[in-house]
Amino acid sequence: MSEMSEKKEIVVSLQHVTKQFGSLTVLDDMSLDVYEHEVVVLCGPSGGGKSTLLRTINGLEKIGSGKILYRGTEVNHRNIKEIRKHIGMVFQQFNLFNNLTVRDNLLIAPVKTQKKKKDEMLKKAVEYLEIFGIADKLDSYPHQLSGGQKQRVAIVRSLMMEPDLMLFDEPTSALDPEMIKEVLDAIRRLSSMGMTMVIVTHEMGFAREVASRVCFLEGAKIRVNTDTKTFFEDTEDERLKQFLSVILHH
Amino acid sequence: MSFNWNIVVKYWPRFWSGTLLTLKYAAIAIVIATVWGVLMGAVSYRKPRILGTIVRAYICFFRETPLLVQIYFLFYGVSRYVSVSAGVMGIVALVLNDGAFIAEIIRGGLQSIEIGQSEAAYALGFNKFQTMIYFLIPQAWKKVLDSVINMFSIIIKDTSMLMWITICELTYQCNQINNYSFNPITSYLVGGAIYLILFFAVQGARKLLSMKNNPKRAIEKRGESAA
Ligand SMILES: Nc1ncnc2c1ncn2[C@@H]1O[C@H](COP(=O)(O)OP(=O)(O)OP(=O)(O)O)[C@@H](O)[C@H]1O
Ligand SMILES: [Mg+2]
Repeated sequence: MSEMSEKKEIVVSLQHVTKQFGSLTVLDDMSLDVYEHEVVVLCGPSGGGKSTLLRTINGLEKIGSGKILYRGTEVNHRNIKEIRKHIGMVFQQFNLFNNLTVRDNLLIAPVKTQKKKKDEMLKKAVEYLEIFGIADKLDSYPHQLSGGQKQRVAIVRSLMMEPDLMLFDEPTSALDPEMIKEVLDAIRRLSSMGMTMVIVTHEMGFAREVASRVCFLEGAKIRVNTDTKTFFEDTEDERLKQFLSVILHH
Repeated sequence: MSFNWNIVVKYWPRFWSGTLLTLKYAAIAIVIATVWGVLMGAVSYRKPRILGTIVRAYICFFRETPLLVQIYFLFYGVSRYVSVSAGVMGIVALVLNDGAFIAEIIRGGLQSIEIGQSEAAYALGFNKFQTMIYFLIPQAWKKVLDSVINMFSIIIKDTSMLMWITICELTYQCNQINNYSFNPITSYLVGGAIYLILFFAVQGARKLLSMKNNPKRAIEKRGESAA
């Protein structure tokens, strides 16, 4: 295994990415490689550019300069629609399609954009829903679900595309405390399945447990990018120490 | 001179044929104006590049000028160059006018949908057109259904303008009946009553539709069928 891990492939590579909103620089020359089966956690103070960084990866935000490679191919406006089908995204606000039942939320993308067979996809959807404990919600509409259930459906919706990489933008921040665990458990399960993930979260305990690497973003820069143990126990960065002491004793 | 039932009975065939023609024009205009309005609403919702700007100009022109001016313009002006019947021109006028109002309603509905719905669709590989068709228009439609159905009532009333271009709809027939009977009270009261009945018919249809759309009832129904 250890020889294998040395040869791990890079799934996504950000190279000197810069992004501005008007005169505000949000990403300032950021570089980041995400390797296969890695779980990379992004954290840092509000406004540090975490969401923006995540959204540039699947082209929801255009970048100013630099480049993004997906499996070695430079992402551009022509290939982005195809690449998106391999990258799952889970949002803070769930963003289930309100006009569709859970069943159709799960089926519509693989059937319409990947031309998969409907009955096969339905079987797969039911299997996933069972794994995540929401099989009884197949015919419900999003507004009939709790926040935790919505977010688990959103995760399954991404999984239906058989993603190569999954992005999470504060997946538990809009949830009541008692529902956070069920969503974190779902993500733990993905991590044990070997899913490559980039996760923005303030759940530091969770990060410590699942992350292979943690990045600290502040002031449009990736200030710290290191393995999880070093990040929490052995950092030299004063700002990160400050951040951790605030967030861990909160 | 007061209300006279004999006049109603004597001229009933005229009231009736006027009503049928009003219904016919209203029904055709409602169907086409709705499709047209949704299309224009969807185009004008997007960032106003060239096409969006043209559509917004169209919507503005047809909403902010009188319907009768538009009807005359099409009937006397445009039909010099394209030979179509008064009936077709009438429908075109109603569709362009009321379709512009429906387009604005649809655009408002589209704008009220959270951006997250589109982002989720893009993230799954849908293009802008698919996102519009599968997610945005169905959600907007449900939100603005009441306002669109209100437009249907307005379209029914707007058909009365077609009398000015030789179409013998209900208002035209009321005029005729008044000319023969010299009894405006009866002529226009009966005409008005018929428009009112059509209005209530539309409202009834709206109630039926909104019941079908009501999620609470949908849950109850599912509960029943599961039991
Ligand atoms: N569409 C936009 N237009 C203008 N400015 C934006 C836009 N989106 C984000 N910003 C700005 O970019 C900066 C970074 O935002 P971003 O959402 O990436 O931060 P974040 O680290 O995710 O913060 P949070 O923890 O609050 O979610 C912020 O100052 C924000 O105000
Ligand atoms: Mg954010």
